[in-house]
Amino acid sequence: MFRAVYPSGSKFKAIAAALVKITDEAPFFIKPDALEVKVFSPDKTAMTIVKIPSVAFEEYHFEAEDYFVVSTTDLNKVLRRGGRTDILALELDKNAGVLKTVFRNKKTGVERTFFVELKSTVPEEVPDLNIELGVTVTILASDFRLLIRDLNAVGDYATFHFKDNKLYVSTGEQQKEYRAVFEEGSPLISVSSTVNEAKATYTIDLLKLAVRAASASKNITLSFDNDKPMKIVFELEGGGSIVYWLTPRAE
Amino acid sequence: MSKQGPSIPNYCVLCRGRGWCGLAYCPILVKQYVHLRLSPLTFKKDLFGSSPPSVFVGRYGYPAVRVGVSVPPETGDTSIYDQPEKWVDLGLNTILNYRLTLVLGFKVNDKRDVENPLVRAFQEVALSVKPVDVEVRLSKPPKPDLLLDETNPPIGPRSPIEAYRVDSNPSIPRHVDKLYNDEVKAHEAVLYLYENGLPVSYIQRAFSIGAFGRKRDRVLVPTRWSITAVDSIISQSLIREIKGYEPLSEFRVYEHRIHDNLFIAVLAPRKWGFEWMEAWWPGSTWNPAGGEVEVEGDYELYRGRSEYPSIGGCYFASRLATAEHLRKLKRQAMAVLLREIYPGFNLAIGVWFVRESLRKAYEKGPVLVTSEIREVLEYIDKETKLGARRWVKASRLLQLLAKTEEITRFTTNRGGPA
Repeated sequence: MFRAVYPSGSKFKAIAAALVKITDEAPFFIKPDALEVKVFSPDKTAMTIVKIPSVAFEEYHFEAEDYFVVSTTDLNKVLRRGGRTDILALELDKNAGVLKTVFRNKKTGVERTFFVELKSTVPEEVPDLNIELGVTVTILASDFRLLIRDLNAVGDYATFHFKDNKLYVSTGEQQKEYRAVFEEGSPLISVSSTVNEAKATYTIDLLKLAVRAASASKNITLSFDNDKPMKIVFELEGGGSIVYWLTPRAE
Repeated sequence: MSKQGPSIPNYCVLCRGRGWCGLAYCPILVKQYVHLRLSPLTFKKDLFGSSPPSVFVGRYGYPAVRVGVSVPPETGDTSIYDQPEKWVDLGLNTILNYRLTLVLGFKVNDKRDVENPLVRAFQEVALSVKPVDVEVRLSKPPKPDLLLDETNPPIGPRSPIEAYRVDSNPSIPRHVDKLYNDEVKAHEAVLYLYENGLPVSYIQRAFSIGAFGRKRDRVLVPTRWSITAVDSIISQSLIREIKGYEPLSEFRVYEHRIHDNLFIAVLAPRKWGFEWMEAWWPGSTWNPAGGEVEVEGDYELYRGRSEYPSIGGCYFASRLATAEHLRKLKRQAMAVLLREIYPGFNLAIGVWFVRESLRKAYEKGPVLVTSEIREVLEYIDKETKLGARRWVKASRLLQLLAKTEEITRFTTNRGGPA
């Protein structure tokens, strides 16, 4: 038996919206300290880790560590029904093969219940990524979204180049080019680095995946290094995080 | 003899249809066929022959469309005249000869009016698996010309129909007849017929003539749209199935050269993804006056695509051939399909050519099996005229395979299910 109550239905739906873009089926791991999802994109060029600590829930009950798998499309359809005034309760019923999803309106007390079918898929093993990345910047989610839209209008690949404490982002195709310079305060919130210079290129399609989660978070932390994966962290306003690891393009 | 380009009269005198000009067909022979086969028809209003069967629904004027049946001026087994599945090993001259022989008698009909007696008669002919003898009275003799199209097979002379009579019993399989009379959704009917072994061209014909679907929803579908719709419906269903299989464990490369076209299919050991790329040489069908090779293509990743591919119906025709092959292998893969079209091929003959050429490539088996993308690119470089560098530059999925590593390369310790 697993039951968890999340204080904001509308904040939780960003998680499903992020997952639906990366995978058809998502395995949720019920752990003592958190509810966690860890998946690769189908072409294994991206990895997404969703972690909602147990303390972020109003209630968090479980009997033993377990997992359940649901269709991200089904889950997304249901969680999109959550409003600002809804509290979300998740209840796992493995005997009935469903995840019971209850939205309770904080003001009126009205309850709406949806059942999401559990899948019998055995989750794929997703190893950990422990990589030291030399450059870390924090940026407003809205600025990040704007950056990705700019890049997407011009090219297929974006180069992130850190030099002289500034972040240069560029892309280009035949007769088209885009360049942007970011530094602390304009518009980066913070910049930290352990290297003087770092450069890596990433597929804009992958960066676009991460934009889906931008609505769930105010700030985004972005880390990269020479020809290493990019790590993008979204701290969820309701508690928890969504982390994307994006593979670099080999030049 | 090196290829010197078309229309050098001296070569024609010496060559006499042997293809020295570099074209995939002989324009002089085709002209002669047109004259010989069609001249007798140009003053005739009455036709009797065995329809392969062949029906056509036009798209101009939609929803008031031209709908008709095609009949050659001969009887017997004419089935090959409208069965592209059997054309892949034939010369283009032969295919054009078949198509030129078919005279299309048509009438203008609203797309929803599928219950009128003439359309019903066309439907019964279209559903037959054997040629059907028909008599056609045209309102005027047909003009001796040929309609070439990117999607449809070539269409011969045509004229409005005045009267029509079926002189032999159409041979309709029982399960097809049941679908025709039942309230089954058209896309379910398409899949049912495919799984029961009916040729794709048969299903496209039946879909076009409005023979399937819930009765209130039945409409005439322009043949051009029907061909793409059926390729799309079937391939989509196959893709759903192959996504349940494991990815291939190595790269497989397939190749087929035909009529001044080169087809290369690369199946990569990744989850489903698909890309169709074409390189049109100056002087070829869709690049007649260009000075440079034009490269175009479209792709989809695992989740598919929501927009119609700008490259057109050949995207779905090639996807169908690929999905069929992967289902046979019980594997999924990321497929990158490359086609080079050289100047000798300057004739639009329909997307069947893409589907059947790729089916042939897959049937022949892989020409290269390797675990290294480097070897695949070397092969592409050696076999294509465009070269690996330009193909990689143009192809999103080749870039993905060649330049983007899997994130697992950076992983360290193992984690997994609790």
